[in-house]
Amino acid sequence: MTSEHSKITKSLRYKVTIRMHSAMQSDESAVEMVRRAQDEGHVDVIFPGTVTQDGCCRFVSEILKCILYQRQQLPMTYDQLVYSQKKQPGQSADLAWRKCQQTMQELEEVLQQLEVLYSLSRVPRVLLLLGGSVILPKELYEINMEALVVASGDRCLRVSSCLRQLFRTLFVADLLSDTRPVRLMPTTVLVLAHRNCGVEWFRPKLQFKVPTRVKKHVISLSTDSRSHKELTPDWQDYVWFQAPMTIKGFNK
Amino acid sequence: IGIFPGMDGEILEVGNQKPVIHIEVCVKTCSTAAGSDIRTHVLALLKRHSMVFGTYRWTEFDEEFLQKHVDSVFLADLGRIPLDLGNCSLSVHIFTLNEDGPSLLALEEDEELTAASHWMLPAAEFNGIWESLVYEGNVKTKLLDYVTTTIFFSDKNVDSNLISWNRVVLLHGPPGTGKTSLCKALAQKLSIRLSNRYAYGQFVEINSHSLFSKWFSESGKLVTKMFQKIQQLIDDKDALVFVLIDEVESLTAARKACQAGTEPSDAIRVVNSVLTQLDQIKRHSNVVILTTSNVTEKIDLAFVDRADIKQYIGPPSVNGIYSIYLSCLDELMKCKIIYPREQLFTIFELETMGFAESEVSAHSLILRHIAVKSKGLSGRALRKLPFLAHALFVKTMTVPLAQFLEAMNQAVDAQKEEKANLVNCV
Repeated sequence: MTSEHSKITKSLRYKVTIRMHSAMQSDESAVEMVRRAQDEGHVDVIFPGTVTQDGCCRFVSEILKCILYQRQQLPMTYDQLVYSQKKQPGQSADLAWRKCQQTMQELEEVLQQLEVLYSLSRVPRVLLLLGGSVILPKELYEINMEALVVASGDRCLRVSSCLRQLFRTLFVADLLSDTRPVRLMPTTVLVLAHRNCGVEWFRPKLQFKVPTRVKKHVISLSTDSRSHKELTPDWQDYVWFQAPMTIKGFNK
Repeated sequence: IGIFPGMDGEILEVGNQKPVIHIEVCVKTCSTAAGSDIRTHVLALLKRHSMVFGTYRWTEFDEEFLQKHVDSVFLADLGRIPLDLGNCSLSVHIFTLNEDGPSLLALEEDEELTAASHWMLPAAEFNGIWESLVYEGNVKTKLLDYVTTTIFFSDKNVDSNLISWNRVVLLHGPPGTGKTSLCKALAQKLSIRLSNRYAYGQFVEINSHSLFSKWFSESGKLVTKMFQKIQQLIDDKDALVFVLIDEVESLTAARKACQAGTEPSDAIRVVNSVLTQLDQIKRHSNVVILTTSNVTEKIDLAFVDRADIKQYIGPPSVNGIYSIYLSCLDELMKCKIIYPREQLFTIFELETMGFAESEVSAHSLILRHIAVKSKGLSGRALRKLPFLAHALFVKTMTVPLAQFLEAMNQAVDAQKEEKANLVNCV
């Protein structure tokens, strides 16, 4: 137990703000959560109420941005990059600047199309594949929202508070960090959506199967079942769609 | 009206005397329709048009569903016999082409050089190669049957200690006869034909020179690493994995040569490593190893021995050349480079007419004459001949067929001269 605790504090010392410390205080379940994240690569985020469809889209976008940064595919966080690009428009002859520009455009495109997709269909699962091929990626992240109760209206939780809870859990669980340097690799986004949702940008991949021989990191978002007993839909008619482009990543 | 078989497209059915017809249904990449729906609509289409005359491809449909979801319905490898589909056992293969290009497999984290290219099958890039390859006799069906039997034996759990087969195919012959293309086409065809058995196919083309290390004694280890990567792919029992080792002589150079001291001993290790790794891999039922070579006498005997099928791929015959030219001219007419479109007979039709001279067969006979003259040119040279003809002897945007044939005739002469000059120089 004490070694677990020292591990947590060690990993926290570097990157976590004071806010997270308050979450850690004498929290036995946090220790268990960290163990689960390290051993099984699984993090559970349980929201105390329903969320909106727009909220789901935000969660996925923010997780995508976060993973790209944490897995060293971006040199700064997305928001910092957007800011720095606005501040100092570079020369188009500069190769590094062009690479940065390209990555940002790719990422923006994916984020935009995710919004379109969310307006057409429920999305119970999202996969982020880094490196390798679709069959055998180097790293595999799944965002599982099957047990998330989606509703509309005022009774839903605020997106900002959900995001705060989500990222606090992610940082405490320490799922994404790695002290070793990671190579640049293309990131592919796959989404599970309804067969007849009519999305055009994402390409259907009916044959796709989730790779099993790669360690999978799962971020599972759900609604507390004690507060909501509504049945989630069955996902039978949901098929995989793949983004037609990959996000290449860059480092300065 | 005959009985249409259900979901399973078993190829070797026992006790079923009806001829099996393979129907390849290429589904549009943007389609999300379920396979079962597509099957129902295709079977209905075939019921409406049950009389067919040999190999046929539908690309336009009289029905909305098929128009929306299906690219083509292809009755493959039928020859030219009229056929009532009602009396046949139909095996429907539904597939979607993968449009992504190859992904690269690197052996080491920091290695820029990639050791292999990796395609998901059926790949859009490989589409149509099978049909474009023309060989004497039944080389293509023989290879197809061989691999099908291999997989059939594995499925039936035949004890490989009693009956041994190695899953290794060696294609050899002079350069430019389409050995590599045939490997790709074979893999593509099989992944389509076996789509009921395997969820997807994978094609790994090993970049053999990347397996030789600059460090002494490291090469053998690199081979092992390569095969470990392949092993990862094979572990997925839903996938049929094809491994292509092009120019295999570079990996399995005869160890005898080493005794003469002309090869470094590291090369021996590579051969040993390849041989033992192949023995490891062959235990898995879902892998086929395809190899090609130009210089068979240089290959280590132990490797040649491991290949079940050693198929010689020779330069095309006159009939083969004619068919190749015909497909080239057809393509040029489709692209309206040769204009207006004119009728050309197939070699089979010419033969049935006894090569009789008439107004309608005039162009075809000229083409046959060119084909006779082209004998001795490699397949690769033949396929680029129409291009050379256009570049050297046609200077206009569109050209009538007669003029183009004349240009091809000249191009053949130029090619032969070029070839003769090359020989003289040596």
